[in-house]
Amino acid sequence: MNPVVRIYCCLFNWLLMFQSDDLIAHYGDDMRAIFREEIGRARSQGRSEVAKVWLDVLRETVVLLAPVWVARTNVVFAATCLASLLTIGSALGFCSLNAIPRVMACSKPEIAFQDKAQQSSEGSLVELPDGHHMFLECSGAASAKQTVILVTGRGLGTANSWSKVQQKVDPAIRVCSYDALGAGRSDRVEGNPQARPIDQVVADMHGLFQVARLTQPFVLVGASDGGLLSRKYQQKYPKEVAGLVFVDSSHEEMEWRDAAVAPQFDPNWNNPVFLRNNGFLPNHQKLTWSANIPLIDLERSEKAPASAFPGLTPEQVDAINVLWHDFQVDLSKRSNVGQLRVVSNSGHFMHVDQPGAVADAIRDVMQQI
Amino acid sequence: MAERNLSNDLLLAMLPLAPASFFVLFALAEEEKHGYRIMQDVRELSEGTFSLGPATLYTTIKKLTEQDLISELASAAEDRRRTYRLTSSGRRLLTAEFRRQEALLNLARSKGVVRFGGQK
Repeated sequence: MNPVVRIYCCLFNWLLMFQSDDLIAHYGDDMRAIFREEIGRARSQGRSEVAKVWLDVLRETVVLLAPVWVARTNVVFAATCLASLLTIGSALGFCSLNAIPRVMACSKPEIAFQDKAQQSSEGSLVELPDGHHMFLECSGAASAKQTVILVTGRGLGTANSWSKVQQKVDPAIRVCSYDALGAGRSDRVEGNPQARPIDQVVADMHGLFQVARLTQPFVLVGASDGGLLSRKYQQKYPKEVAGLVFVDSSHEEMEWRDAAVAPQFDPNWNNPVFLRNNGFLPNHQKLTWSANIPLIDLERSEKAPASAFPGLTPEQVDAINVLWHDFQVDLSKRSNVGQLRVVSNSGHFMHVDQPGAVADAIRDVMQQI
Repeated sequence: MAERNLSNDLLLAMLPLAPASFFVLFALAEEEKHGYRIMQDVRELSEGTFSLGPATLYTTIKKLTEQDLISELASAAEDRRRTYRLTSSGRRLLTAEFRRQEALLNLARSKGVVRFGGQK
């Protein structure tokens, strides 16, 4: 074979590699043979014909492969977007691949802790006066003179997220957990259940406890934003609540105090509707709530790493962590008999990581009543 | 091999034909041909306005074969080149495409937007 033709054929063969394997497997030899014939004919007719053949070959390579390249680019682009979303989402707390300890108060839709024994305990649906049904699950001595209520509706998860604590609590203590409206086994509500105004959530709780005839007084146990919910409930129905346990609780002043050290931390920090619906106080307004009843505030021992707050400088993360500690100190002083306990080896999901410490705090509060 | 006879609806849904498919079917309308002959005839039929590269030609051949519009003939021992012919569906499709083009030409004539030959 003429060396020039040989080079041409090698080049064509190289271009052919970009075509689909299927096409090459079926027609590879035919295409090479045709190209050889065609280039031979073109050479005999002059350079312009050879150029035309190459132009055709290059054009068809682009035309046939462009859709494939576009499709592949789309797949890579989609994968990149998904990975970025997951990274940003888990960093900001919208989703998580596992329980990441965090300082920030979260509103987690549900953390599933499958526990057959827990599922088969005394769970039932209770119909509220407004027709909604809420899932309630109680364990321990039914004859007990008080009821411990593991609060949900703000903060972390459904009744299931408390299952480890509920199992660890002394069987002589009556303890109940429930799914808030819109979550878990309770009825759906219109819109995002986490956006349900906190006053309404408090009303739901009150309705549930009334209809289910839970024995008063109550000890409310709230984790994260659930702490806010417990305080709201105590404020509205002070006679019903005899004791409180805060599990790495949020603080009513945290939105504006955090914004003062890291304005980008929560874009909603100055949004009056968001603040009101979630029980946070507006800029510079201080918490006036107090209750001289047995109260234990459990504080996490493990500080949030800087990686939990993308976009914040290390100094801002340190400042947020210092504020969080101050919040816990402040909450523990809101009762003249309040106590602060730092729970070793615990993060924000203390009721999952260290359920025993939460059960101990419940026992100690009950003893003081 | 038994040919699948494509329904008229299915054939009509394929219209208008892409230039590569159209010219390959057109080239095979006359008689059965091998790949290189199809390539040459397409250039001739289109009077040099349309040419197929090897990859486009065989991508088209593969597609038309899969659609049962053309079929590969069992090759003769002395000739390694594969030859192709139109199936009856392929012929009907080509006819339908010509009819479509004819109707368009007639429409253009009746509207007087284009003048052909000696037409006034």
